[in-house]
Amino acid sequence: MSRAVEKDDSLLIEHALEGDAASFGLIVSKYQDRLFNSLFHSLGCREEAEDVAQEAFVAAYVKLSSFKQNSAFYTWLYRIAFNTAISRRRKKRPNRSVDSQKELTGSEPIDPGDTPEGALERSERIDQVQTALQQLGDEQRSILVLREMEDCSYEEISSILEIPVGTVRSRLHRARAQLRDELKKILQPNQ
Amino acid sequence: MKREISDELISAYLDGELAVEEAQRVEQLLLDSAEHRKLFAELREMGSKIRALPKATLSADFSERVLESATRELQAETRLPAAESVDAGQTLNAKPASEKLAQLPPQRGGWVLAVSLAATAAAAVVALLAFPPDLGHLGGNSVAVAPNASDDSREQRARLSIEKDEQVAKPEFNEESDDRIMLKQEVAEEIDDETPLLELAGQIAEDPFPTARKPQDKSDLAFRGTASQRLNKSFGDEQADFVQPQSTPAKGNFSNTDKLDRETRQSRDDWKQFENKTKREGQIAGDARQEGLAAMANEKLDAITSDDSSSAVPPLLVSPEHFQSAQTAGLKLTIVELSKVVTDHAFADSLRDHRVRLDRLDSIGMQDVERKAGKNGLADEAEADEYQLAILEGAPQNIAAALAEFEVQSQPMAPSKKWRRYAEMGKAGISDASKADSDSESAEFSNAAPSAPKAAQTYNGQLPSPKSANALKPTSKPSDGAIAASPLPSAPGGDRSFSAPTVTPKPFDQPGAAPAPPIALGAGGSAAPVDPFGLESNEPSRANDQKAGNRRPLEEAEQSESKQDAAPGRNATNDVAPSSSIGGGDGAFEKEAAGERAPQEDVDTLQRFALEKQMRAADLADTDRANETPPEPSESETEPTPEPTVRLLVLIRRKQVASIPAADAAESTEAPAKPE
Repeated sequence: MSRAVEKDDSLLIEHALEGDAASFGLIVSKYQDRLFNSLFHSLGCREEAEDVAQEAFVAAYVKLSSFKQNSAFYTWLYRIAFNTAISRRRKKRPNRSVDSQKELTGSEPIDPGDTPEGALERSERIDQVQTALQQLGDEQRSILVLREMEDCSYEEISSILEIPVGTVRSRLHRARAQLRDELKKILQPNQ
Repeated sequence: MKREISDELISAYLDGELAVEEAQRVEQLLLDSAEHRKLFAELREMGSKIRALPKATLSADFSERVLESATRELQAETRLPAAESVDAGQTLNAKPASEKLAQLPPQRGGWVLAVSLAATAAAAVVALLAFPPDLGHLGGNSVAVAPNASDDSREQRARLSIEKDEQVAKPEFNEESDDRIMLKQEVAEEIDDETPLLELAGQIAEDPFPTARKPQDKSDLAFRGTASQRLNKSFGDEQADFVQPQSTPAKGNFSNTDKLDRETRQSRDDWKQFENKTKREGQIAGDARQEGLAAMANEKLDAITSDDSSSAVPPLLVSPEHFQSAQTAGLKLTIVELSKVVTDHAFADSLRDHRVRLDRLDSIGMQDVERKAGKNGLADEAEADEYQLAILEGAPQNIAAALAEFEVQSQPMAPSKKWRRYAEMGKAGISDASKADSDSESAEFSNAAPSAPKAAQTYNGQLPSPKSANALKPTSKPSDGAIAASPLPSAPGGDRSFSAPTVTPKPFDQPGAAPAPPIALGAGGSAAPVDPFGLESNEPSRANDQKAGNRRPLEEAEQSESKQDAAPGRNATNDVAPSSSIGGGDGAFEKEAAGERAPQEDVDTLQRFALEKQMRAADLADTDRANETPPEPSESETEPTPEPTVRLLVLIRRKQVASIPAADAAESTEAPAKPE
């Protein structure tokens, strides 16, 4: 996260703190897709991801005054969101949506040059990864999403998940290893 | 295990999160082991697959839904009795409280609903019994405003936001009904925007709580807060902070509910503080009165500082009692009372906050007062002195008496004898000369006057010094015992001498004494360059320097006459080394800061310092006139020349309180923010 972005965030936050709700609306617009995407892949359910994202933004808005800007806003926001997700998961087991591709209808950009075979193959590959991801535990899936999709550094992951950096490294390794195994199972069911 | 460690290293290597040495080890491992190379390739491909997953997006109206939900959440929170601390990691239910209630199990929900309804009904009955007057004309969906709410724009937005919404949220005090809140709100709304500011301030000053409605609970404070808010609104945030130093910073009050929450807490805090103050001081209206006066004095300050031409500023406010007493005494004086009574720390902070404005009062040297006050404040933590900051404005010859008058009234509990005497002298000096002659205290004072040049044995208007009690005792008996003004112009380096206000010579002139010309303040009328306070200023004075030529012979005469009176280093002599420290001659403040305080019975060092500043201001203001005044008074000169109006900023130690209750100290500080 560049300093310019952080500065923009600070400015928007400052305005929001002064009562300008539209500024917070800009913050929401800025991070909503990113957060939602991470939550969706972490939770595996579009509705749940949307609910969690909304709750996270609302909580951030309500508690914006407690944000000391010691970290980037999105780190703080993600921490809220992931903790919200974990809290929800504890209350009830998620409704796993294996057919995640259908949930994403319309959101995936269609490559005009993709052949029908290529599109199908690509769709299958996405299904496999999604299915494999769903086999992971919440923690492992979250850390993988943060690392691979959000490109968070270990430090940022550590901050978001509130775990030591060493734990991030080992947990990420285990998540990768398990995902690899799951993918192998999907690709080679006989094995 | 070793394999797992190596795999973990490869995973971290893939992420670029390894140190150089570890990365080199992994690279060597990858070179040596095909198995590890395969793993590395798999991990990299897997990462690519994850990153290739389609990006899920939200609809465009998501942000609007978030804001709506947030608004509902905020409104729901206001209905809850207390703000819950929610850390970043805690979850929030975005649904309003009503929905939360609906989600409860039927039995529990019904029970809660029944209790809530019963409590509401009971509160309404109590409120109606307590306030039988008509409530029909009460306003609509207004929200009670808590004290210390200073940001009007946020308040407006919060009001609009709430009123716009159909689900109007009203702050729910535990022990207060909505009707009561509305009643208070109605009272607050009586102070509408058309109310003249000064009238409003006067209203607060006179009686912030009407007799029929003395404050009984926190909503009364809300009324008071609203009234103060109106004042603060007009003076801006800086003034608001100045008026209400204990108001919490506005950080975090971005939303209406959060603000109301804070105000609710603030109202409770204010209530506690109010109770403490009531117990401690036994008076209720004092705070509000001081707030109002302080606000008006701020306006006065603004007027002064914005007046580049330094012309006389028309009086905006005269404290009723001071005005009356001043008129009774015949003083041509306007006292603009700032009457800011705070603890030393808050006072120092306030001064710092207003430094920009105060810096413009260079002639008064207020920045030095600030420095000293701040220093002193820091040094006197335990004593928690209270100060009054006042602006005195008036003709120079009346300043001294006015200062004394003011001081006496400022210390009703233990007025200094000397100050009383001085006040008496001042009164008598203007109102009735014959009375003054017969006044024993004045006579005593007259006898105590220091020696002056024979040309005009005068009391030079200098105030008694706590450290030089002998200053009041004549070292050489006055020739005629008259207290008269010195006809002498400013002494050389007069700004370094202790400049004092002078009294009109007329009432103290003894029969046979030479008629004295009107007395100029400070150096202009300082016949004997004695610094009875032990205060000397080494700051150069431009105005005095310009007139050094006129003063030289007289100065020599003065020095020769009052040599034995003048303490070494105290007289205004050119050989005094310049010093940046005002009062550095005796290091009064430095000593105080080190804990060496002057006896309480003496004039306080702060007073002395402030007075010195006043005298210097008067000195500067008078210099021009003194320049026009012939060095020697003529016998025929009986009519005083027009005297300039002098504005003085006065810092007066009011009294000492034993200690500040710990609760107050805690209330004045912002609650520590929750960790993210």
